[in-house]
Amino acid sequence: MNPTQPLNKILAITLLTIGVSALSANAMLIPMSNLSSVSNTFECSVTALRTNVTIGTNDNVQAMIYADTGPNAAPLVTTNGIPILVINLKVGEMFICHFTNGLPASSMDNLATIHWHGIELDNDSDGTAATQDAITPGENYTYRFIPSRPGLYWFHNHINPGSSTFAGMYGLIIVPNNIEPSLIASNTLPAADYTYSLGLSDIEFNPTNGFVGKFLQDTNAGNTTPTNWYSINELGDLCHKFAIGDPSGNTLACNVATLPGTTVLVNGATPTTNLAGLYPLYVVPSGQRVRLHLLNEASSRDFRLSLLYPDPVRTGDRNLYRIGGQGGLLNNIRLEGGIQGAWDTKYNLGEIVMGSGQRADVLIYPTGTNGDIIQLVGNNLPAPFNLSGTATGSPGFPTNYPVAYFQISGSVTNYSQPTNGEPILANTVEYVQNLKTNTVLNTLAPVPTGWVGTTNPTMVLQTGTPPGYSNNSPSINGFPYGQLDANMGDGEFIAHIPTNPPTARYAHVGDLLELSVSNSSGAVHPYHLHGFSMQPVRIIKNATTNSPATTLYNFDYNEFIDTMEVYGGQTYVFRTRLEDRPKLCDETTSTPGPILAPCTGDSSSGGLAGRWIYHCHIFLHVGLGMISEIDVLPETTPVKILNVAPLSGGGIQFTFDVPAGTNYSIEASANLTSWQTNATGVGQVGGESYTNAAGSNTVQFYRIKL
Amino acid sequence: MKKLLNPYSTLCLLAVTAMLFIGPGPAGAAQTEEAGLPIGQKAPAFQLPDQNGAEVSLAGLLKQGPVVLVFIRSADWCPACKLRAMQFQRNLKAIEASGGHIVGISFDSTAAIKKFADRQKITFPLLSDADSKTIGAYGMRNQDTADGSAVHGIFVIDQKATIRAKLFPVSHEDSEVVAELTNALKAARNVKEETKP
Repeated sequence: MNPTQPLNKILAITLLTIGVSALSANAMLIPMSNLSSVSNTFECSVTALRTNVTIGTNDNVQAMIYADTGPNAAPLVTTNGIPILVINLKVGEMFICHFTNGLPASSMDNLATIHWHGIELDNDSDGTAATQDAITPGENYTYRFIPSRPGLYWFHNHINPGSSTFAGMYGLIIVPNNIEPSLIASNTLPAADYTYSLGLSDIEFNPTNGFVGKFLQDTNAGNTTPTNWYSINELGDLCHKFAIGDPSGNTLACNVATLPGTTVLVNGATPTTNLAGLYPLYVVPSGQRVRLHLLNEASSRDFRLSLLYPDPVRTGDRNLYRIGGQGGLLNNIRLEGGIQGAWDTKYNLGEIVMGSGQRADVLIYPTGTNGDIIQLVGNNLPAPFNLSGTATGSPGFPTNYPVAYFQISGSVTNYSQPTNGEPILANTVEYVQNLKTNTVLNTLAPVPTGWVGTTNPTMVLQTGTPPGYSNNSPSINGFPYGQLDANMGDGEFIAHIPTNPPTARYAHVGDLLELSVSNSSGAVHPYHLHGFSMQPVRIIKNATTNSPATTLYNFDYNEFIDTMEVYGGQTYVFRTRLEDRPKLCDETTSTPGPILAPCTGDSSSGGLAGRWIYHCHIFLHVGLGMISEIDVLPETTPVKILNVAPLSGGGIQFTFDVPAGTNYSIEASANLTSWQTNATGVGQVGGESYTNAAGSNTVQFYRIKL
Repeated sequence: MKKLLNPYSTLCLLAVTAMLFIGPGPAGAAQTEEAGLPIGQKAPAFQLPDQNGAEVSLAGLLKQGPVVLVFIRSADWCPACKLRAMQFQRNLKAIEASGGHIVGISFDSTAAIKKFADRQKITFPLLSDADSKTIGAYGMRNQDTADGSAVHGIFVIDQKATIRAKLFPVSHEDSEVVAELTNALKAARNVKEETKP
């Protein structure tokens, strides 16, 4: 297709000739089969494979995939793009997944795990190099966890994940809010027939032999590196060799490995206006609320999404109304973008931008006459976003490149146009809790004796020169620790706990923390925290030599997320509650198989303790060192906060346990620096409670001292 | 084969590389290909302990044929280096069938090397150059850190102790790496055969 050809003309021709016989995008997703007949249990069998698939006119693309290998699995079809699995789970459901590494041994990119991105699970199911050994070809591993929070999640490899994710090894996980049936009944949300999941990604491959990777032509004088196609991990190695810790400074491999792929994928296939028709195509009535589950599963690409109506006359509501995403539904509908407070988001109000790993649950409200096509389109972003496309350099992506199509057929009148601020979970039992005000905060724990780490609550995403190095590297607080990106499946890395990075942070089960992620580089980095969700608190413009730090935006809504785009020169402040969860022993039947943390049996608690990594979700940056960990230690403090309830008017009430007979004092502070004693007492069996109904809005922090 | 040039992608790449952000510093004069002693120079002698504590010398190795000397950043903490060593072990028979021997060398302690070798069943010698003297003698010391580690690189040394090739494999696919090594080994072996009286 000529990208400059008017799309409306193409659409008109295509519809006349082939009607609406195109594949539905949801049909391209493959629901994971459930092996279990036990109620409230979902059990599956997944195998990592390398297989040729058809993308566009290329039928030899050497994809890497997760395949459903359960006895009731649908036959594997590779002619409609990369087969992408979707797992539909419920909150509180037991999830068991038997994973086998079926990747060929004849490659260095043969190690695999499954990381369940965003799910608050027990530590040894997190699938990272810090929680389990890599699963080598032929080995298997059984993951077990219970999802505790609704949301849109996804899964991917977390051992040298660049090549495999770029080549298609990922899938979707949908965990609905329990309250959704009533929201559907009230026409707040559409029913399942107008709810669509779009797993967005991109890929790039050698059109001649289908090798998945990126093309590197090194033009530096005197460099004998051959012009070639490289996988993402190979480019990462080149980047290590030429730029990180080496005397030279060949930046090309690093740059190329970071670039988005040149072919956009939606549920594993290319959006298109030719071949079998429009893809992905959804037929919807005018005036229907349509719900889109949007998941960015690309290795680096930022998706900037908006709606496009067929021509200037037939205009309609172009907004993407965000109703939720990473942590389930929101209390109220939001329009993202534009200027939020004093924060310039760099995209338009009503658009959705998702960095690598982010997800958004949105409503659209398409209207028109029969046959009208409304498009979900992608566009490039301005600086500091640098990874939204390649349009700056031709041939790149055209303006309004297609992502999905909605064809109007008929009309309905029972759905109102969504509005910014419209209630979703507000005033329901599932409202999203506020951690931002009137809470009792803990500080990071001291670094355990003999271990390495820091109590600094600010994690800095840097791209400067680490201490002792003469070349730049992505790092955390100036310390690159790319080793956390992988291990060898032999237990060696787990033995390195005493020497984990000096950027490691420590905390205890039950803590409520306020932490910051400061981006000292010039570009956007998607920060991903494993294991426990973050509630965004504020965005700060970093101090410069000429100006002090200033708050740009205080988040005026409540949400739990795991991945946040942190803009260059800004700091993202969040709070997180380290809530314990069941510890379920994972298993392996292989020999020697992955070496696990000791587990003597399932337990209703203890699943949170362990090593949780955090990193930039641009995969090259992970491998080069923009990665570290928060290690959660068992609950040892004698003070345990049981419940916190903000009072209307600004007061607070909380209950807590201290050892019986122990004197305690409750102190309050507005700035975490000066504290005043508000109450004293002696611990009783059965717990204590404290209420401050004074309604002060200035006191935000409390602590209990023994 | 991956080595196929796509003009479309070339244009795309050249156009976009100028505006990227991560930029790990300006391009330096020296490239890794140029790191280390030049081809044609005499390979410095060494005698170092392997993972089993046995002393291994270059002279002793060359009596058995050409040597593939693999400089490893670390067999302790470098995942990519360890994967590469495991790849060589996986293809050891095919490589040695071309008439040479692989030897790895890193600045790790013998104990660290032994731990890795035992767990991954590495049978070819992994030498401990704890003071980095041999790494330095080959010009392979990583100048970007003070820890004494080597930069990545492979020297192919013929039986006259002359450096015949320097390889910097990038491909992760076994077949391509094995081909690169065996071709270099065959060339190095032919040097001796050509000079036989």
